[in-house]
Amino acid sequence: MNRRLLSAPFLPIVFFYMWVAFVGSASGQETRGQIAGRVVGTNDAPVVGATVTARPESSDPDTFQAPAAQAVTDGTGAFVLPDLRPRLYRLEVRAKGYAQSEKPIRARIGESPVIALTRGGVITGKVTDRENRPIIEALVRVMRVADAAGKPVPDPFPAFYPTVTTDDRGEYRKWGLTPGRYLVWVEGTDSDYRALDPLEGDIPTYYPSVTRGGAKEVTVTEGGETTGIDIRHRGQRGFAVSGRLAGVPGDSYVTLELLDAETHVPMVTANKNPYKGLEFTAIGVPPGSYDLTAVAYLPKGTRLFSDPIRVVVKGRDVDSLTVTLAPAASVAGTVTLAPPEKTLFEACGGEPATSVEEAAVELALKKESLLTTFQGPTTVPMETGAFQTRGLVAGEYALAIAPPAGWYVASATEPGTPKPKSLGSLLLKKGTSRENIAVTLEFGAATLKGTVSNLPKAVEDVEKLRVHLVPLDEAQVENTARYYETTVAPDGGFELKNLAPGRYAVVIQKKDVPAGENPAFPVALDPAKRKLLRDAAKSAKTLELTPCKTFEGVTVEVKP
Amino acid sequence: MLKFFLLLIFAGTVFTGADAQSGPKPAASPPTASITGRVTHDGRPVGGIQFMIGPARTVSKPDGTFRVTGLPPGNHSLRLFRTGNYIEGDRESSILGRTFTLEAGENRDGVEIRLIPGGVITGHVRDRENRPLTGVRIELFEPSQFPNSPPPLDVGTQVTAKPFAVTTDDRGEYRAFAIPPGRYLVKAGRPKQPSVFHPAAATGNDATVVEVRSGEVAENIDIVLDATPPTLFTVSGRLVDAVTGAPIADETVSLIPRDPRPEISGGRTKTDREGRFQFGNLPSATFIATVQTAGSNGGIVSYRLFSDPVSVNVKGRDITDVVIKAKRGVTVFGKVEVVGATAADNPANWLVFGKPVNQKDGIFSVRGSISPDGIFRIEGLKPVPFLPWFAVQGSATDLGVNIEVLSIFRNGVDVTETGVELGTDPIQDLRVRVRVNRGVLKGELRFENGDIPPPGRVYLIDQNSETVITSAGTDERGRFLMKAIPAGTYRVRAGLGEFPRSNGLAPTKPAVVTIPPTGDPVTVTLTIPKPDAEGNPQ
Repeated sequence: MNRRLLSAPFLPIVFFYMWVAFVGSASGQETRGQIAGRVVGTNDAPVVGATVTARPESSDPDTFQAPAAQAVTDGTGAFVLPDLRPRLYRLEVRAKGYAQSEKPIRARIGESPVIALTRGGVITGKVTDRENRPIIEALVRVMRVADAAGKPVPDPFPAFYPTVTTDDRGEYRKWGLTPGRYLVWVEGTDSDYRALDPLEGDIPTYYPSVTRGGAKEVTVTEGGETTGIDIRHRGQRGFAVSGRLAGVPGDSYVTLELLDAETHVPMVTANKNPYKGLEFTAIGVPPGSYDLTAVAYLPKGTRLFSDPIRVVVKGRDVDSLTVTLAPAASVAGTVTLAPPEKTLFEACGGEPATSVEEAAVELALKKESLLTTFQGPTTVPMETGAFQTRGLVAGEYALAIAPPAGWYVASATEPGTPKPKSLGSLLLKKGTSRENIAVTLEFGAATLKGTVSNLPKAVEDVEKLRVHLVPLDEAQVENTARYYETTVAPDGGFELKNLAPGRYAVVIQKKDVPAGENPAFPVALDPAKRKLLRDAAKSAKTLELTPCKTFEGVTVEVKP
Repeated sequence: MLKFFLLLIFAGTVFTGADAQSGPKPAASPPTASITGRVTHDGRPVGGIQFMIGPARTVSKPDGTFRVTGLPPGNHSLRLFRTGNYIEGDRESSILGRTFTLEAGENRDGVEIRLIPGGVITGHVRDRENRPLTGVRIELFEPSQFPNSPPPLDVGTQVTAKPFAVTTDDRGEYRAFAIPPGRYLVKAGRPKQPSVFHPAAATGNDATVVEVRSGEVAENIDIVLDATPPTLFTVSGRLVDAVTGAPIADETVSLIPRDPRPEISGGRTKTDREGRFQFGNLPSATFIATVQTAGSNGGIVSYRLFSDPVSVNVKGRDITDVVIKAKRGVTVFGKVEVVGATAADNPANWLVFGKPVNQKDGIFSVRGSISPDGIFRIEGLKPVPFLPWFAVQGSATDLGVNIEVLSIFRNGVDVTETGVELGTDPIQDLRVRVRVNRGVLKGELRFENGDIPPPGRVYLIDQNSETVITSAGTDERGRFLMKAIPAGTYRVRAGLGEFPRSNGLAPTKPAVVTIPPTGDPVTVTLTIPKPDAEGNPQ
């Protein structure tokens, strides 16, 4: 199972963001601008009265950023977030009756995002004990396991499973849920010091009255109410898994997870109280085999991780474990905006007034990790261009840069990288840091829009297709920043933005992603696969991209 | 991040399996105690009620009886599991709660636990067009003791209901339960908007009081809330160095509402290269702008960078000229020496703090770090006189350990009384001598005629400064127990009720006790005149 691999906001090298326009004005002066967009519901219908809030995307995950602007949508669903300085913003949308957006919505001034919302659904029911008496203040959790079409979705970090507590009648009502299929369960808590939980230490009971293996999925429809999801608590006492942490300050906040050893589904989570030294205890653990992992959250985005420990719970508590945490890896460097060529200003609609804070840096992990936080947050360079992403687990990463509108990645290098070759994948070992990555962005990016013909009939086969742009300029064939990759829409359309001008071949390939690997990890970072792409490029359609222009109408055919 | 923070706040001690009827495993020494009794409601037995006494979890049998064994000697409080009820004296429903002070080997019987079923308030919140409003926060208050007073005196004490945060659902419906019987004002509020009391009153003075009876439901307690989006404003300004006037980039500034109200929130943001900052979406209110940075020790208070608070009055207009002048904190290094240390007194398990000597300079301690050899470092202290203090990780009362600072020397000069003067430069030469105290005081509170008084509070008072060192509640037998007392001679006084120092009841005559640093308990009996039937001293 691709646990969490898909859940985080992966940033495929270029196609995640919507680039619409840049702000044209005098260079060197800060230009304030606006984000004007629309919020729509089903069938593009306007969502009226939605609140849209823009917060600066933070380079420091521990700092809660105050809103920079807020607006309410009008009768056409339109909103305007005015007077914003150039940088990357995260948009939050709240609308009565609608579910929260599943993916983070990011935008820059000058962009016109269209934000699609789905009407939320409701799950209601009652929680009772074995004698059919209501259980008051029981913690009910729901987890979406499949979307409305039945396609599995990855599980998020357990702390973010939606929760609700039962009232004095044992009844609960969870609303604002994204349509799809859900697991619903009751579990004990150790978190409320004011009122003790009688279910504390019990094995979680899933709807209707079973353990995880027999859980029945609950369907939530758009705007619908699914009633009668009653849970009879089994009241089975679980076991305790306890021990001591090493390699971490005693006052750290640490979360521990017991993952099913086979499926890697998180079964039990424990939080170590920062004021209680280094001891930890996870309770309510069902019999089984687990991988125990731990993550420590230190200030300024610093993280410590443990290696997984195999724990077998069979008929008794497990104690005296030692879980050793070690520093996470980190990546740092600088993003630079190269001075724009004046000769481009006419073709590009004027001189850009771009801030480097409009760029975003993400690190996409290739293979899934058992650890709760397996990739860094989105990092926004400071005004100096410096960026640092901490808290990375060991593994192979792709450096994914999202340039501002009109710009493209010219190179991404480290000292010693021969030019014009750019970085391949980054192999990060435990606790290591790569601190001198230099990313250069150049002005004059092109856009490509096209269509894929002879599409396979099965939707899952279309989802495996990737359109690649392969550089034909001999000097650029080893520059990984010149290789582009995108998915194909169900109707065959595709679009690539922030492209370096030049000659390219358009190659279409099927991408078979092994289980446990990130489907967004770029193919071209693998030298062998890059060579295969170049071989395929010899017989592929070619095109010339010119600065600031959109190349439209290209069609590529899927060979049988 | 918010969730992370909430988890951090509420992460509690995990109870890991004391047997329901037998309590925790008996310690080898000294002998354990037991409690036997029954749970009642209006004099009738109630079964199936789960609660804890100290570390032991138990449940009442169908005839209401219970028995808890294996309790270590000491103070044990009563805590009720989630049921929608209250227990008289449950720690949740009173500040002190009900405490049992047990002797080694004692078998306490005849304890009665009286159950009070909570009430329910339910209703809808709608806008003026009768549309349901979602996510509206509901709060309960006792009616004001001062009628027709302006806010905040228009309401009395806020009362905690369940669930922890009562809000309206997608139908605009709310349901607050486990409410102690009484009379309440019900307030509805949304961020950045004025609150409204049931049924549609702007202040508590005009609100309708809701009567809640034990075990009953008060229905249709509806509220009409103006849902018109309020006009919002921005606050912007600069962060500069208080000495040089230079802008300070990439630091976090905070905007905090001066009057803490749930509908008003400020925020935090980082300064740009020119030290500029901006907050948007603020309602008309008065805020405090400040800079305060976390030090190397993270979310704990630190004054690596700090400022005097700047008052910002947002009253119907944007504010653009706020200047926050930042000062820089100082780092201190030192070494702690333990007098008469034992193997158990390892500084590796200690915490070190620095606190301003004068309250006007701040009331918060800054936390530092300490190594096993006693070398400590405190980063981010305000440049004002301060005193270091030490604690053992965990609750001092539970551990029974207190670390007393005996002397502080800087450059060979005794600064124990005056505190350590700080300038702008780091300090590297502090020498602190400490003693580890395990002092114990126990005893009884009695009426002068020998009767057992209702629960009260015993205070340990410093002979010289007249300050209260610590206090402890008395249990239903008048017993009390204090641990972790610094060695010394003290006066001990006691009074009845939860706040005997302020409730006007006659205190006991003071007794004088001398506490050794060892754990050898000192015993004292205090007597108090028995009040007459109307509560007046006789």
